[in-house]
Amino acid sequence: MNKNDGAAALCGIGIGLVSLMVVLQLPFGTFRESGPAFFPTLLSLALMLVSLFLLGQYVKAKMAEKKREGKEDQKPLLASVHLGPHWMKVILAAAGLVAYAFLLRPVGFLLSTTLTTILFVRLMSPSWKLSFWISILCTIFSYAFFGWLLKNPLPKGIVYFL
Amino acid sequence: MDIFHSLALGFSVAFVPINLLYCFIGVLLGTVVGVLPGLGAPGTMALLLPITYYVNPAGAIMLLAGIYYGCQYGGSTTAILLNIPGEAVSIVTCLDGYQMHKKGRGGAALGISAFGSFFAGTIGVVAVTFLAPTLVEWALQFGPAEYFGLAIMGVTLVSYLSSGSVTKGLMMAILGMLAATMGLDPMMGTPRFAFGSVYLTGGIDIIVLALGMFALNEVFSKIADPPGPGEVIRPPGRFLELLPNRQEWKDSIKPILRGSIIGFLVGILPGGGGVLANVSSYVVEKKVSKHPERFGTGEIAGVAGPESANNGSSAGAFIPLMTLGIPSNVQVAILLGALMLHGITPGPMFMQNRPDVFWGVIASMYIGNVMLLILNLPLIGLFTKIAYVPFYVLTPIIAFITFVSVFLVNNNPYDLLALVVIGVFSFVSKAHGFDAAPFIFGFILEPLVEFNFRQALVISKGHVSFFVSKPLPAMLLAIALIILLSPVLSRPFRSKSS
Repeated sequence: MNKNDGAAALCGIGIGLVSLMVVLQLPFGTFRESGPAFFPTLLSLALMLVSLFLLGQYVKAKMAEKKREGKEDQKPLLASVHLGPHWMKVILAAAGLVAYAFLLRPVGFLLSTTLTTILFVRLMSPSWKLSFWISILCTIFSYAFFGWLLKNPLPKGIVYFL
Repeated sequence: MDIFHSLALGFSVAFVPINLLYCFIGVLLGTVVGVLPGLGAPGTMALLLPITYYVNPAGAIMLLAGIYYGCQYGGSTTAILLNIPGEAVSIVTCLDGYQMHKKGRGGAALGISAFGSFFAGTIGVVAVTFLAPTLVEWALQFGPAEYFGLAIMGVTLVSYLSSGSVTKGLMMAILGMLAATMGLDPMMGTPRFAFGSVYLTGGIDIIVLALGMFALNEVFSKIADPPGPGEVIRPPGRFLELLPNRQEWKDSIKPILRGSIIGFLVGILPGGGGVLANVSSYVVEKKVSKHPERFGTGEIAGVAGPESANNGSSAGAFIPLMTLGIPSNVQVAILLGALMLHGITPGPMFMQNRPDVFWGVIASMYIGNVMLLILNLPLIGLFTKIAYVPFYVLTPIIAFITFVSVFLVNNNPYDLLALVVIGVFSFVSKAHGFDAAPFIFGFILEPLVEFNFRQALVISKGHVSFFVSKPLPAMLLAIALIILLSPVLSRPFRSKSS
């Protein structure tokens, strides 16, 4: 059990509820002639049920933890969640990928892929030189392989003359 | 066509130079990825899935299958030499393999591991060759209720064996199934969860999902928590250092035999991946050993058994895939995805409809095992050096391959947005103890579960009791129920023993 399992269970219940509300706008049908909402409804209900069970487990563990408060020699029942010391960088990486998705067509494959790869190398390595070379080599290789060799129509963007 | 004629057809397909090359690339990549801690077989297979569009179906499956069983070989190298399991299946090998290395017998451990893997892999392929046709005949009698029961048992088993709690595994499996319902209804063609978007009407692409759940998740994990400098020990330099001595051979023969059988049997079970085979073999070896106290201190049986078991399991896993169309673990689920990408539906008719692919893949596994033995013994020292490639070079390259591959699937930038959402979801859920495997499993099996469930209800005129009126589906569903309830059922026994 983790300290955030309660929140995870509530998320599960929330997802189940939302999907149930969305899918019930479609015909459910009957057991004999099931409609498109039939199976997703069952899945949403199952998700909520399992999430409720997880919530129950969490509440039970939390109560047991409270009972044991003060007894420092015992191992805690609820473990902490660690996303990693540099988890903020993950947000930056994800934001970079979102920007890549939007820039790919207008800017072109070569430039946008090089910039995104530079971002990913820089997030892990302090060297600009290394970031630059890895990105350039990867992009040129992939462009040559997929664009020229396999004739994949990669977006050219502002480097339309290539 | 009898088995030998079919196998001859398979070898004629596998020996086509281009297919031989794909098989070689697969086993080489698998070994390299197995050596590298991090990416793993599912991630690599997912990365290469888009490339298989350009390859013939038999070659594509040979390539991906080569990665799968090649990875089982490679994972042991870093486990023995650096105490770093390149793959989850090599964790058990670390226990005695690294201790053997510290005692100066790392070469022998690597040698036994390679020979054991070769033996178990070959035995497994022979068993697949002879058992698959029999199982196909049996599978032809399967109806919707049987398929539904089998798929439900598979999802339940994977949830149970996933690396978190059963509840969390089950939650992920249901979420995966719910994600798979996005798109068109399989029976009526009505869009579900599309919210008016043309992109969502097509559903989530399996390649985007697999890359997000495995490769991007791995990249995010490395960015958030970069690995520290590991302990570096010199890999064995000379070939002779790799050969086990006479006593070590004697001590390894029985564990290799037992490991091969255990691995193959566990591999057939849905959810029975290499890890379960590995652990089962280690437990058995420790139980039957005259010196169980030596396990964990550098006992060769603790390397020979588990290493054979994980290769036996990778061969066994092909049986349910090829005869029933049911994947028994994540890697095989990706193989199923690759077959579906090429318009091939694995199942009882696979052998009749596409004997070239069916027998070609089996024949390639014989060849692949020989290739792996030749690759692994002399090149172990070289492969080990790959493990020294700094993560800050390797990880961005993996990230690069991931996002470029995803874009190339449909040349659609929306796929990249879906990748980010899936990657972040996978990263956060993994940190909270929610394993990705049940999610992928649920996603892949959902169409099979839904279609057969609804079809069975149509046949039975809406009677749910139809699923328990036949012995096989009733038994499969009962097993699933027992697995689900096992944590609750075993509680009184656990409290008594404690």
